[in-house]
Order: sequence, then C-alpha cells, then structure tokens
Amino acid sequence: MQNRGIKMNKRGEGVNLLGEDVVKMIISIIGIAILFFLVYLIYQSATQNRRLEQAERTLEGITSTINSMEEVEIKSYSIESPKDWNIVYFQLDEASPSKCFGKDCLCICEEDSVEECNRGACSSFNNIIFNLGDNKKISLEDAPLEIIIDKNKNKIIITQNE
Amino acid sequence: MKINFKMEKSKKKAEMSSTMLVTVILLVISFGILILVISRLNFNAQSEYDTCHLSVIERGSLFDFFNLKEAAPLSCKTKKICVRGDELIDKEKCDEFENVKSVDYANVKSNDQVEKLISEEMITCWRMMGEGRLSLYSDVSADYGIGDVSSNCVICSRIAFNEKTLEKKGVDLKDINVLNYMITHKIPGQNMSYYSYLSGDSPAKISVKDNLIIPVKNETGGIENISINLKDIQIEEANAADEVAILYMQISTPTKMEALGNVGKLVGLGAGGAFVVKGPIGVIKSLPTIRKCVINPYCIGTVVLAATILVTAQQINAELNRGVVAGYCGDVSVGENARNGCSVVRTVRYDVQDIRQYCSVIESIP
Repeated sequence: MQNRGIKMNKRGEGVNLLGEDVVKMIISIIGIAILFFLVYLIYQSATQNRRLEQAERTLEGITSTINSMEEVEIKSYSIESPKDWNIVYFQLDEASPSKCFGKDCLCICEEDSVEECNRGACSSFNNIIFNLGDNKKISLEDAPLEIIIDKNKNKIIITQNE
Repeated sequence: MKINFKMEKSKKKAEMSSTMLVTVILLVISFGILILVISRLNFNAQSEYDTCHLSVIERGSLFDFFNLKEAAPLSCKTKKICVRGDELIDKEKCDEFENVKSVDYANVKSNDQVEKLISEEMITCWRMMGEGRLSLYSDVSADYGIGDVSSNCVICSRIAFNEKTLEKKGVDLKDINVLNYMITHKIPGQNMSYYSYLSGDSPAKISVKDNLIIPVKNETGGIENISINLKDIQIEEANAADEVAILYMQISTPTKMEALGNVGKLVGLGAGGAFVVKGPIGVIKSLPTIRKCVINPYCIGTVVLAATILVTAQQINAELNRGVVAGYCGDVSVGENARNGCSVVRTVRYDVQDIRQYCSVIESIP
C-alpha cells in the first residue's frame, strides 16, 4: 500500500493530510474569518451610527442657536458629544461635502476632510462666513465642552471656551 | 478485507465528527450575528424609554472582552423637560430650549409637583439604566494596567424652569426638597417610598468621616495616601432656577484594582452598598489635593465617588435641596468576570464645568 500523504496512527487508520481534510480545514478557517470580519463591520457600523446621530443632534442644536440669535449677539452652547470628532467649516468656494454643495458648510465629522464629512453631519448656510480659528476646525477631543458663538451680522466666530 | 472495512468505517466516523463540529460552530456564530442585526432593526415604534432600556440590557449582557460592549451602542436620548406654571393661556416656554425640538412640558402648581417630577425622573433614569447592576462599559486598556479608568455617563433628562410663570403659581424653587419628598412619598402604584426603592432593602449605609484618605498611584508606581479634610471643601452652589440634569454615571474597575474597594470600606459601604443622600446641585470647588487626584488616572474613580458621597452626606451646603445622589457600589456585572464599581444617578447643574466633574464621556444622544 502506498502511503503518500497518508499518516498512519496507532490503530493503523489513515489521515489524509494533503487531500480533502486539509481543504475542508482551510475552507472552515476562511469561513470563520469571514464571519469575524462581518462581526467587526457590524461593530464599526453600530458605533459609527450612534456617533453620527450624536453629531446630527449637536449640529441641529448649534444651527438652531445661530438662527435664533440677534444680528449682533454672543451666546454659549454646551456640546456633550461626539467625543474626538471635530467641528469643521467649508467655505463657499472650496471643495465641500455633497450635502451642502455650493453653500457655506458647517459640519461635525470624524476628520476634517471632505470624504469624512460626507459620512458626518453637515448643515448649509446662506451668506454666512464662519471663523473657527487658524485650523478651521474645533476639536471635540475634550467633550463635554462649551463653545462661544459670536455673531456679528453675517460673520460668526466660534471658539472653544477654555 | 476486514481490516480495510474497519478503516473505512472509522475514517467516515472521523469525517462526520469534524464536519459536524465545524457546522455547529458556524451555525452558532451565524445565529449570533443574526441576533445582532435583528436587534438593530426597529420593527415597532417603541418609546424612547423602552429603546434605551433594551439597548442597556443588550450591552450589559455582552462579554467584557476587547471592547465588545461597544458593538451594542446605547440608544438613549436625553429627555428635555420645561417646568412652568400651569396656565390656561399664555403658556410660556423655557429659554434654554428655544428652537429645540421634542420638549416635554410639565405644568405645575406647587412645590410638591416639582419634587415629584424630579423624583420620578431619577427613578426612571435608574431603572432605565439597569439599576446600577449591569456593567455597561469596558475599558480594555485600564483592565491591563495601561490608560485611564474613565467615568461614563448618560444624561437621562434635562429640566429647565420658567421662573416667571412658576412664581405666579407660588412655586418657590428655593424651597424644593427632593430628598424629603422621596422619603415621605410612595412610588405611584407601589408600596414603597422612592427612598426605599433607591436604597435597596436596607437604609443607606453612610459613615461620615471628617478626614478622607484616598489611595493614589504616584509617578514611581507606588501607592500613597492623600488626605482630604472635608471641612475645607467648598461648594459653588447653583441658582435656584438653573437648568438641572439627571445624570447616570458608572465607573467600574476590574477586581484586581483596589481603589474603589478601599473607598467603599472607608465610607462604610462595604460590598453591595446602596445609598441615597442629599446632594448640592453645585460643583465641588477643587482643592489642590483633589485636583492632583483628579489628574491622576488611578485616582479619578475614587475621588469622584468619594466627593459625591461624602461631601453630600456632610450636608455642607444645605440651602438648595433639589440635589439628590443615589447609587449602588459593588458588583456591577453578572458572570465570572466580576467588576467592582459604582453606579450613581444624581441631579447636577446642566453646565459643562459641573458635568465634567463627573463625566469624561457622555454616551447619550443630545
């Protein structure tokens, strides 16, 4: 009897190391790896959805506050979440997220890029110029935090209250 | 021939067992994923309480393994309540919630009704978040001795007051005493008081000491004790009409960390201690020792808990009695991987500085 690829155990039974059993094992491992990857994707999506909802609500609050302010007024606003995201401003003539194409855009997103802000929360404004400081963003790393909204006609300066 | 037949039969048996094992494993994992996906879908219109509560149970049931609890995010929205005098016409709103959607209005005529509202919101928050018995957060880095132990919070409700209309109805916010209301009134439909419910079967176990000793990890990794004299602590009180938040906070540490256990013993809580005390709304002004402790990641959990319980128990500033702190310290998880920790529900002024005294992360949806 030829024993190529067949290892004999003590009882003389054969295990085919090179053939079907190995293939089955590899397929099982790949299958389990795919399932773990799916679990990871669900985990990412679940966490991301909650943060997005927090961002949307927060941006809604900021927008309402701005809209309710007088032409010249200063107000503070408390931001609870999402921690580690950023308030980002895209000017009218810059590349901006698709949600506010062609308008001034205020967003809360994970990173200060157009791609990330397409996945974030954005609100468009007509004829309003925002100033978020030299970095054109306010980090929510230290959330909960307070921001100061300084409105002067069509110019709004938003700074973090230290 | 006989030997070959035996070999064939055994080989087939082995093939069947390994195939079945793999199939079973794959089926179990698939089922788990299916449950996760279905739970994300909201088939029926559920109340926000139910949605939050379900998400709390789901998260509390997950293993505390590699931040797996993050896979079940909390779906808890902050409720906004405007308390105003009960008028038939000219119903005014609260300035704090100007242009805010989904505001609930509580029309009241007496102090009792305000106290009842705050008491019920605390009970609702406590129940919704699992009565402090479920571990909702996992901090993998802290478990393995790296990184910080953070306090995680959910803001259950924000309560604002329209002072003008309340004054017309004779409601004086300075006279509000929520703790007294909780002791003297039963929960609607139940045969126990709010106080009894929150403090468990036995009365609150608080032992008050003038000097608090908190263990702190120093730069060299050793443990040193910081002594804080409670008489020196000052509290910045809130104005009577300031907006109030009902906050649920949980700090948990794995059993190998002694910090919270030490504080529990110091304050006479022991294991599984529940407490309800009067709590000032204002923030505790930091003393140099507390500030040092606050920036030390090993100490944050102990000082937040200790300051919350002991300072409020001392009733250093008893002028405004809207503040109540209730909680449970002890095992905050079911299962083998027991965690020691504290869950607290309390009233706090809705102000970033005050909230930051207790919360490093807020998980609720504003």
